[in-house]
Amino acid sequence: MSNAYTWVQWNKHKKVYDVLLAVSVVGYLAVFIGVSSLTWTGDHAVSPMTLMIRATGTCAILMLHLILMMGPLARLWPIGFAPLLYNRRHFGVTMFFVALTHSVLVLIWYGAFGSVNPVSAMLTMNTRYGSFIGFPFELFGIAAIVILFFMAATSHDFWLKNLSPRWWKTLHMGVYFAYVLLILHVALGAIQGERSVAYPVVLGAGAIVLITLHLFTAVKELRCDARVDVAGTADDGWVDVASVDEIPMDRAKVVTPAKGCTKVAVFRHGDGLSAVANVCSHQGGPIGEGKVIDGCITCPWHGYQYLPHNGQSPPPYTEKIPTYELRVEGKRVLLNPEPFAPGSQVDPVKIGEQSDV
Amino acid sequence: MASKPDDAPFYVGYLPLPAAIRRFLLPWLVANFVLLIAVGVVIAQQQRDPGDGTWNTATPVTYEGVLTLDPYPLLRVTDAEETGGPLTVLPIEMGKRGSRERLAGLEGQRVRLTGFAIRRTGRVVLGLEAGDAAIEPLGPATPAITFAPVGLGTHTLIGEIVDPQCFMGAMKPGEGKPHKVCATLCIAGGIPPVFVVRDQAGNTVTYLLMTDAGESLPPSHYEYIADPLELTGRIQRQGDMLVLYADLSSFRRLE
Ligand code: HEM
Ligand code: HEM
Ligand code: FES
Repeated sequence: MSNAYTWVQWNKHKKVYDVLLAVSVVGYLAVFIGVSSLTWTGDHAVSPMTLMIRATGTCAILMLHLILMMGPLARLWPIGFAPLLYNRRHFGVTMFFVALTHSVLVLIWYGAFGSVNPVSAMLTMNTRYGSFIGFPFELFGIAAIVILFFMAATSHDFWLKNLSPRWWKTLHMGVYFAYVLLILHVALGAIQGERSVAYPVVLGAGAIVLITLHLFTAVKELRCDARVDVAGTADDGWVDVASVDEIPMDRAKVVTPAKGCTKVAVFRHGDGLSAVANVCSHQGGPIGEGKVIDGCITCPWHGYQYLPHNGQSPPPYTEKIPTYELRVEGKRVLLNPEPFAPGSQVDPVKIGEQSDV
Repeated sequence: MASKPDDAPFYVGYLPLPAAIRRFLLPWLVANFVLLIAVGVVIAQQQRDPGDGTWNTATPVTYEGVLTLDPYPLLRVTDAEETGGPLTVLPIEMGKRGSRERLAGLEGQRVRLTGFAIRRTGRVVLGLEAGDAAIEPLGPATPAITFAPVGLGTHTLIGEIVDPQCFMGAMKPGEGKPHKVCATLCIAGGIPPVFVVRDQAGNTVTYLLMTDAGESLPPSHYEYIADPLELTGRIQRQGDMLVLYADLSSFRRLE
């Protein structure tokens, strides 16, 4: 929905979101440093720099867990969790900066003031590349921050558009790779030095929650995708998607017309019906879970809008999604499963009006 | 025929937040915040003891004694205030470097060194101040006092090679795998390696580590730094300091 790119298209929700985010980060760091300073005092105090390294490292990985929970939560409970997804990129970018602070502090504290540069120090001072338990865990941290850097650097919609949503999304799936790297980073690093069981327990619990959520969501989505949920197929290949009464006003029914087909969202608006592809051109959001607002189909994820009769975003925006042909026979709504090119004009079928067969 | 409008709440970022969604999200946000803080408290509270080393970077101190350079620079002080007797000071440069270069030519000399002290369990590491005034040569030592060595036999010990600068208080904690890169950087930079043996109660004994030929730890053995290690060597007491002449072929990592 961008005709001219601005850094951030601010609105009240983004501001509230970012304030909550900032309060959480600052609150966490303050609590971590406060509790540390009360636990080890006097001559037993932990070095302030080490404390900052630990506070930022743990903060970043906690944030990453929350980020990785949002996708599945928003798919399992689309209505309630939508506001979290809406501004996830700010969460991601904030997390990147916290992780970057950790990385830079480590490079200064443990890597600088020596005979080689800090990055070389990280990579050459522990040579046990052949060992698992002794592996230089810093390498995993470096690899992860490089991935997160590319994600944060390309996070703006400008890049989303120029890289194409598919490439962009592939890049963003790198977050899972970064996550695995970071689990190794902590398991083979800090946990090797600590004696308390709290560390492996917390890390393990986080991983279990994330994996469970993702598995649940994946199973649910796969079930949905595998189901061809049409009531029947006419001789001409059109499919029977629903009864008119099944589709609520300003909402859609989503169907998979045939095995392997893209899902189609059939919207009811005014006295007519229109069908569009169920994939938002922004970040692939599920358009059929959206709503018609001010005459426009509105995506549930970030609010991109499309006109029902041609799948185009209203001017000055230029996004387009594929449209489909419909007809009504009695109470049944039939769909031609062959999509038109994105942005193609298809007049809505009027309800109650029999289209000629 | 017209179906009734669906009034399920619907969120659009640029429109007001529906009350139902607010009611749904609020407890979740609060729970998240509580969880975040709880995890922070637990992790912070469970950190291991970083030791009781101190690093006074505010007030420089001065030690006078006899300097030896091989294999590592050591300043032998006969009547130190803190021990009331012999004290071996480990002079180093600030940063991750040994002091050999700056002390070159002063072998066997009486010198006065000024710097910032790092102290733990009776041992002193002295980070030399910048500038010529930090090193004051006082002429040849007469007599050449070195602490008379006392042999304590050959032993097999379990412990960890650390760099004394960080371990004694410059970085807390300055040991274990998270610190391996830094410790190796320090030792490769000329800071003398120290072998730390810890008893059940957590008390530590530190040994200055060298080869059985009395040479500095060779780079081939840097890979053992900061790992749990078993090694065998001759132990000597030299004044207040324990020196471990280790058999390089006896190094065995315990994992
Ligand atoms: C250049 C990249 C990185 C390097 C060199 C690095 C290095 C380190 C080191 C040396 C430690 C041990 C600190 C100590 O306990 O004294 C550590 C701990 C940790 N790191 Fe990293 N790290 C990097 C990137 C990251 C990133 C991107 C994250 C997470 C998003 C991360 C998360 C953590 C966590 C959670 C810990 C454990 C807590 C702690 O003891 O500090 N690190 N890292
Ligand atoms: C930094 C700017 C970022 C933006 C614009 C952004 C937003 C998004 C969105 C909305 C998607 C695709 C939607 C989907 O299919 O679910 C996505 C993929 C993803 N990104 Fe980013 N993200 C950004 C950076 C990051 C960072 C730094 C992280 C984590 C450290 C991250 C985590 C994710 C996750 C979790 C996914 C997986 C999508 C899914 O759950 O299906 N993102 N990103
Ligand atoms: S996916 Fe972002 S608005 Fe549709």
